[in-house]
Amino acid sequence: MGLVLQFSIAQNLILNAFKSLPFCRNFLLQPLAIKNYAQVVMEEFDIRATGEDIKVSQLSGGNQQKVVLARELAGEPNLIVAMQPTRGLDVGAIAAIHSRLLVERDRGAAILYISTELEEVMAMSDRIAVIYRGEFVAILDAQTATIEEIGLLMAGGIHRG
Amino acid sequence: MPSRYIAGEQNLHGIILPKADLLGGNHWIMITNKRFQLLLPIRSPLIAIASAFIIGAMLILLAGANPITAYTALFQESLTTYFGFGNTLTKMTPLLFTSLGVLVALRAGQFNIGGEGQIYLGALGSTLIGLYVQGIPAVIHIPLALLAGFLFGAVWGWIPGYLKAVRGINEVITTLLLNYIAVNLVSYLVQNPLKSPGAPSPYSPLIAKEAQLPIILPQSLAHAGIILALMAAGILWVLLARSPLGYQIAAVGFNPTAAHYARISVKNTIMLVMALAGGLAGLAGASEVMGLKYRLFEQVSSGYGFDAVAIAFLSRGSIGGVVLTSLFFAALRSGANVMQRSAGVPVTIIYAIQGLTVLFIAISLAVERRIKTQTNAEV
Repeated sequence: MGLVLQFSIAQNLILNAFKSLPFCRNFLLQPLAIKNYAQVVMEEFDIRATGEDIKVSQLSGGNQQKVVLARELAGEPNLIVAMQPTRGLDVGAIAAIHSRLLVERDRGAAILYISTELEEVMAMSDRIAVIYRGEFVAILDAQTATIEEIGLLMAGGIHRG
Repeated sequence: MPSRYIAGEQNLHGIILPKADLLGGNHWIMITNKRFQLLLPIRSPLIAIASAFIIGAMLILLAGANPITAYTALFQESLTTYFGFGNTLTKMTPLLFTSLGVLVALRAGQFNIGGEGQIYLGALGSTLIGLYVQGIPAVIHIPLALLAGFLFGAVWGWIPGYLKAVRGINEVITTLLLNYIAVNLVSYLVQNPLKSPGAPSPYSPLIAKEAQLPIILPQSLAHAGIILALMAAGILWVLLARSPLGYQIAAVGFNPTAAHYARISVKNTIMLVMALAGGLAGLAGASEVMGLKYRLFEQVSSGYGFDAVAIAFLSRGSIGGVVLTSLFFAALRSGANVMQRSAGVPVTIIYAIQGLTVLFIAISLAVERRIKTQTNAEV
């Protein structure tokens, strides 16, 4: 897990940027700037907690994942590798994370989405790559791919077209 | 999990409840509610100290004295009389410096039990500046000697930090073993090259007057080292609580993997923290030489480095706690002799009480960890 569980939500949100403005000025952390930033982000990503000073260890898995997402997306990355980002989360949190990743796609970020849930892969993807024995056996268009086709490919069947 | 919340609500007083675990056995675990958890950090050291004193009282009874008289003697002189308090402050100085060093290492998850060796090296560094640099004014000489003490201690702390960060060698072992090297190194130096000419026993010549710390309570032993130690505590508080470096140290201490992913250099942080820890303990050695003894003896420290580990654990990472606990341990040390004289209780009882305090704090930490793993397992 990429979180420091003993840190507050606000402290976790600045993990990638704590040394730079506006969080750090004159060699000192700026609690007010950090607090304001955290409140804005919690609103934007719908992180549900009574305050930004709550420790992340007290959050639900979904809210913890939203903290990770908020932190990593803050730098507007061009490439996002999402490895099972919704594993073990409840339905609401899954929907929130999916829609947020789609926003990033629309912004222009390339997303490699890795999941064991076929429905999830089909709902999220533009293209679906299937790996069998360590190699890509096919790259399908998500619009036309069917579960049966993907299932066959995953089990080593030969790609028809 | 709903069951956990129900258990917590039924149990607002933190009573111990039997709770069936997954294996079917009955585990006695303490359910703590939120209000109770907030009290935990302050509560357990006080309980540990109180329990140690209660058992200490039994030992005093066994020794055939009155515990109340003994405890009164223990604290009355060391805390309420002018000379006694001066003596307490003198003992508090190295304890405070060294415990700050243990504490800062602990923040980064490093267990520094090399305070003793770092004190010896710090004492050596400031002695060298005190002896071989002569004829410069005190305003330069004192900071220079302190800096040397800090740097010598920092090197002694950096070595285990390097071995841990780069070679993966457990710092508990290396800091402990480096103590022996430091003690014997100083012992060799004061018996041979640094030995005062014609001295009956091994000690160095007096350091220059300009390198000596002023006395702050006239006629007593209390020297300016305590002011420096308190300043160090203040600076360290700002560093840990308000600076990006403190944030970085805490992140590495709590979750090195997450810190690594956030492009924080875990290795550099560990080496830096261990050097800082060694430097603080080095200042303890420097202040012993520059403020108290004015020369290097074979025995620089009487176990301050080990008491510091107990102090840092007792204060549970809080700097204010470290200041108070060092004062408490210093009062125990300085009051022990008075207790022996006036109440006829052997000094060793004090060591027993200190040991029991450590034992009880270890128990409370273990209980707490148990609670934490239990609650985590339930989530």
